[in-house]
Amino acid sequence: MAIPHPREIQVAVVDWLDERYPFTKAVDEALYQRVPNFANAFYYCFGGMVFILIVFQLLTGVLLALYYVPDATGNPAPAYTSVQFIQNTVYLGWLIRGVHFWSANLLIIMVLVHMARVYWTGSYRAPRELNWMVGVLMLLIILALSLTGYLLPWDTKAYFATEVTIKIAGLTPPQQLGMFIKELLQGGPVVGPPTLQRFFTLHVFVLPALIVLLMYVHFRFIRAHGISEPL
Amino acid sequence: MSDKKIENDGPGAAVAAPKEVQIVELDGHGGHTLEPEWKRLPIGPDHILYPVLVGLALFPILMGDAGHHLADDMPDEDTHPFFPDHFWPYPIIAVVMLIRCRSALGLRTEKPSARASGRPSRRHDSAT
Repeated sequence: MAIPHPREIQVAVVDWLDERYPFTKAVDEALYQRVPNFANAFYYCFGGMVFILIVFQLLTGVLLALYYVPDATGNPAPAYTSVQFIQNTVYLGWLIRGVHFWSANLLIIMVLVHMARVYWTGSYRAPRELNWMVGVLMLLIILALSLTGYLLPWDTKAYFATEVTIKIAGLTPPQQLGMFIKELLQGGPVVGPPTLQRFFTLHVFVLPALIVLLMYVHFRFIRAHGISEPL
Repeated sequence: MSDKKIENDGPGAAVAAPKEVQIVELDGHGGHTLEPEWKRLPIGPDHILYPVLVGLALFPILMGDAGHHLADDMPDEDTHPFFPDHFWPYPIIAVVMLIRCRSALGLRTEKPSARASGRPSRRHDSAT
């Protein structure tokens, strides 16, 4: 029995898939859909850059989570020492943390630039208003990710910055609501281990899940609506 | 039961005369207009790089069906294919960003180790 050429195996696999699903048609439609030439401008890349940065954040975040310890008890706290360990001892830990840190900063800038482009080209208009709203929600989640991530190194800067932020949130009127928000975020009378635990949970589990879900919705809308017509 | 009784008006007495229902498709269009062959990459199902293209196509496939786009009705000369025109900048941007992140990290003069752990009231070290 002759050994089939790899190309024959590949074609056989594609044929097998084609018999069960319009496979090659779907691939062609995905890759060779038409894009208007006016969309070939550099400023149409901003959304893709935001996507790349979010992927960076997810990948480097997973790597950081391998060593980070969300425990603020004791002095120095394991949260603090684990960040030091990542920064100084872990192989390429400094790079992973640096990419996570700088991508977070760039991400906010690029989201704002992307939103400015969408506003400038009028891409928020009908029927794309819902996608604009999803985008605004994603901006809020990204800001919440930045806020919750800021506390995690558990150094003095992170501690006092979060203390101030929580105080500001606690001033929300009416007073009862402000106090409720403060207690909810703080998890106790002062910023302490329960605060870190809550911020870590939000930063690592809740908010990334939400943003991935909203990204999926955002992309589905973009694919359904296509590139907006110029003003 | 006679035919006459069936035709009587009243609840349960008559069967509604069949009507022709017109099907109206929302945003209906007869398939997508794809770029002509001469604008595509010469990579078919028998090409060694086809699995790479399939890998790239999986993302838009997962994002669901494309709607009726503006470019579907445009002439060939006013359009370009999604791939590779709208894909190639991103790997380059990603690499540039990695280099930028590394260089930005080098600009940082203050090391995190110079800072003390949080909760200053319980701090024992004198580092600031």
